[in-house]
Amino acid sequence: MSICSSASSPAPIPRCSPGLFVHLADSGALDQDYIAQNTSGFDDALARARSIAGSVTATALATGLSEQDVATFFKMFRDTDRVVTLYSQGVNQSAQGTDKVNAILNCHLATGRIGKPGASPFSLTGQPNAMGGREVGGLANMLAAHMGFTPPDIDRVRRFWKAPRIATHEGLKAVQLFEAIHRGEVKALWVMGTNPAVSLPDADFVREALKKLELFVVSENVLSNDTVDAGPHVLLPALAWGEKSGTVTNSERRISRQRSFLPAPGEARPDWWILSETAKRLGFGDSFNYKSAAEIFREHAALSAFENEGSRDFDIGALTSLSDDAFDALKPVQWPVREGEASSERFFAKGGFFTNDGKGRFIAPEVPSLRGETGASRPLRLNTGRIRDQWHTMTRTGLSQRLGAHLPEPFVEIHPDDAGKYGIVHDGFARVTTDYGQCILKVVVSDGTQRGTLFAPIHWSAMNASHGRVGALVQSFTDPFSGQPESKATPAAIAPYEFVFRGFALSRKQLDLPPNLLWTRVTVTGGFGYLFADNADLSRWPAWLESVAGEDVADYRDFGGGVYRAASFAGDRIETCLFVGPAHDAGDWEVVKSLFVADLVTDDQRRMLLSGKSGEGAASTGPVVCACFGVGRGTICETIAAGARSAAEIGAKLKAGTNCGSCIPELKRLIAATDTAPVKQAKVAGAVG
Amino acid sequence: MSEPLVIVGNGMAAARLVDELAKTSLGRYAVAVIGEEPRLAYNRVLLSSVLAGETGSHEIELRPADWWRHRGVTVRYGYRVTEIDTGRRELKIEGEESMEYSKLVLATGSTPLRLNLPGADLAGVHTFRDTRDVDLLLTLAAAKKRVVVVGGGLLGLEAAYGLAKAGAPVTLLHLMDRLMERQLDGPAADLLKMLVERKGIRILLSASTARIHGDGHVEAVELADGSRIEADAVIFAAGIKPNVALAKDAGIAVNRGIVVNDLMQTASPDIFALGECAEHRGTCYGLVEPAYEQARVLARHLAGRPAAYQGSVVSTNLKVSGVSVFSAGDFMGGEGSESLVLTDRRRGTYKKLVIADGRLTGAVLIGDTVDALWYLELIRNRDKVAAIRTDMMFGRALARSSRAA
Repeated sequence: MSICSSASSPAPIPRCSPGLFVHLADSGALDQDYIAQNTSGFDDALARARSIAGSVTATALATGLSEQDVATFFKMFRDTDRVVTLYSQGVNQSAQGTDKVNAILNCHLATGRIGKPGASPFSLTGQPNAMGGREVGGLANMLAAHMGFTPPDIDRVRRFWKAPRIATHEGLKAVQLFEAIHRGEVKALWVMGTNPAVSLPDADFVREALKKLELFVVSENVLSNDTVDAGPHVLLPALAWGEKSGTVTNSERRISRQRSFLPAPGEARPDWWILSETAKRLGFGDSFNYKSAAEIFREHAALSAFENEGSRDFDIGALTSLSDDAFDALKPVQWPVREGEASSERFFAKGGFFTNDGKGRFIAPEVPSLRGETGASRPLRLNTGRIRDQWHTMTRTGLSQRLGAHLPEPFVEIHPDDAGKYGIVHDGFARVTTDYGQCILKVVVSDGTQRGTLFAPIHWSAMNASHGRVGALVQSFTDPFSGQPESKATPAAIAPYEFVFRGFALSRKQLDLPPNLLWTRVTVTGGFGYLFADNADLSRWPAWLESVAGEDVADYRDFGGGVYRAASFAGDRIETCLFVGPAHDAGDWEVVKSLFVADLVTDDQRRMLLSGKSGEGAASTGPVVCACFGVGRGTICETIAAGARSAAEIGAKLKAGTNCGSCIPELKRLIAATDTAPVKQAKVAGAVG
Repeated sequence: MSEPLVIVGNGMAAARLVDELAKTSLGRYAVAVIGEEPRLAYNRVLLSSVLAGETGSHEIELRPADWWRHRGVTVRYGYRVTEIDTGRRELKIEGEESMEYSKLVLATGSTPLRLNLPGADLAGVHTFRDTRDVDLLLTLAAAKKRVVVVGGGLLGLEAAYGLAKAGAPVTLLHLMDRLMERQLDGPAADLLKMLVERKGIRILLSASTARIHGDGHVEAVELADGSRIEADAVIFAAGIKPNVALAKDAGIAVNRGIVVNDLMQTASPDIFALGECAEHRGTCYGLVEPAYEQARVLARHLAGRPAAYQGSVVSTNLKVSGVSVFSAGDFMGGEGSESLVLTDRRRGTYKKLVIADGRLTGAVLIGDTVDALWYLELIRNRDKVAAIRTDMMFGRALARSSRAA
């Protein structure tokens, strides 16, 4: 029913949940039978909740919401039997993430709203196959098959695998791992399918740490990213998503067969094959003599059922004897699927928690406090997250010209009040500084961001942006239990950053731009696009262009007006195109991009090319809002101006928002912006992560 | 009773004056036109097209005989006026009776300069001015004669282009280090040179002609640096001089040209001059556009209406050797000015706009002259151009839409 703490708020604590818990207790909404029969720790947890936020007023104060909204939310939760609480990285990715989740779980345990149709807490994890990773023990605090590091678990896995030297305690979680590498305590690292030099907090520190390793191995499906560029001793060609064969598990514990639909390119191999071959070279050939993913899956299933008998939740024993063909044809199946029993068991509706006494635990959260301190020099909180168009560090989604067309540059979002306070201007640039690093980002002024906070997306890296490695800004405090970093509340300062010139370049091949330039690389149809801002003398550009262009060049110079534009051609096709202009009139690349796509630029188009406008003088339709149908913001604003008052009406006219629908929030914001103030420039940025 | 108004010269200036007079003061004057050339007035600008075979000789006639007749104009072509008797208000005409006038207009044009060089009087040395020259040059080209054109201005380029197009191997010599230096800046001249060379014409810059060799007939041209270019013919196209002899002999004040005031009036009140033979405020124009502006002013004055000629913003807007060329105003752009330059050699385009004090003050265009007249208008009107600065280079349509936005 509700998301109380969203990603775009760095709400540091389970701020709503304790108040809600107290409210449920005080208004007789508790499921006393469920609490008595299936849980423990209720009294302590409630007492702690009272001390944190004992009333609607206290909750309103702590959350910054109005008392009325808080009261309404409490009442709705109380009076609705079927409540699903969906929460994502705004809750999880924090140094108090475990407490936040526990506080949510407390509300559900206390009302017995768990494991029932339409009533449950539900974590929306962002990772691909995050669940599958946990099942096989892909976390530092887990052994395989959902087993932990309790002595019985260690002993069981050791015996199953006949592995006398099995790990006997938790490993280092990501942030701590790199601290240990930096201290020289970890000397060898194998990175598979992740990009820690971008994605981890204090990412510059991570990049430094990588250079200290005595053995650094990377399995990747791209030739270049920030981690690969940190210089692994061994780079192994791994398979990408569509090339892999195996299983994945979704958030309702459903295991699905993932079949490859692309052949393995070049020498790329499955991760299991690479691991097995390495093990063989290390002298463990007998134990790693796997022939297929199916064989590994059967062993995995067998371990999950090994000495289980219902004592552990993860049990897929019924799949232990799947034939290769049956594995290949496996239909999605929800675990547990115990040997001899039917699947589709619901957990926890009638208790039956996987604890020693079978009871669910109420856990009293700590009194909340953020780890980093704001102060005079760091007055704001930097929240980081995702935008709808990009996935993680853009190594894959960054290749899509459609996705890149919407929000092509790294940016920082700031509330209008804060923007005014710090002299920050919409569409200008700002330097964001934390104790860990700094970035220079494009500014989006938007009341979609809370006062006192900044929001910056996490996706850009040194591969595609000169000053946009937001990971380098993030503090590395972590949650004591989950190890999740405090990624959404780093103390930060913001200051305007001026550029004399702005511009863009389009090219068939990647470019080495002049030094001391702020730039972002964007995939565009037919090649690469670069958006940049510059403070150096304009005269450096003609010489630079000459160094990258061939004989056939057209250029336009108005140095007095701060303008230099040029295009080089191969036959009738544009090879490279460069537009530099004053910051207030940087030029719009949409029209130029459309000509860049063409294999044949007509003489008339070439005549008008360097105007940056179409031959008819028509303005471009602006940045793409609806990526599915390629509908630009300008077109949408015109339609709104012509009377469209809902996303559906816009969809009927322009198709925008009628396919994937991910732009509908932005459509609504554009409508709202038009309603309140009929200005041309709507301040929107679609931060959703 | 109509006043007799006589125009000496039947070139483009004369034809335009008649046209204007017909609009402003039909019937007030009995107009007669006397000219040396043995045909009706034609568009001299198109002579190179005729030479190049792109236009027929008769297609360039400005007005048919009927047109003149319907306006009651007496046209006497092939006659040479030898003297103006200002006292008797009479013109003496070679081999004819004298002709009286009440008002006299001199539109005698100009003559190509013949350089004062050893060998300049040899057979095979020609100029390029009228249809008779065209016929002669066509004969040369048809016989594949090797031709050296002296002069890399508009006229020389036109002659060279026409000859080359008609089949002659042509070398063009120009004294200066760039072509058309009075109309073009360095890059424009450079591009023009490339485009003209593409048409098979050999161009030598900084080439000072020292003498012409030949035994009775042209055999070669020798340059100041001693180099020698074999040739069967030489065409002088290195400037013109206004035809002022008639006026000078009649005691009318002349300088380089026949001196006129803002009414196109000479020192002798009933005698006027216009076109290439006239000198207004110290300037002799060698282009058709000022002659047309002068004709308009003079016609109004002769019709008794207020009029004054303020001089022309010189512009060139032509096809030179098949290449569109435009230049106007302060196209060089000096101290205190800014230049906007678009270059696209493959398209054969060079465009430069000069801005000073927020206004367009000059322009030079090669290859793409679509917006030439608009630029000329901006220069003449002295409009502020800040709002269209970025779009101006790409044409009126674009600049208009952006200004409206």
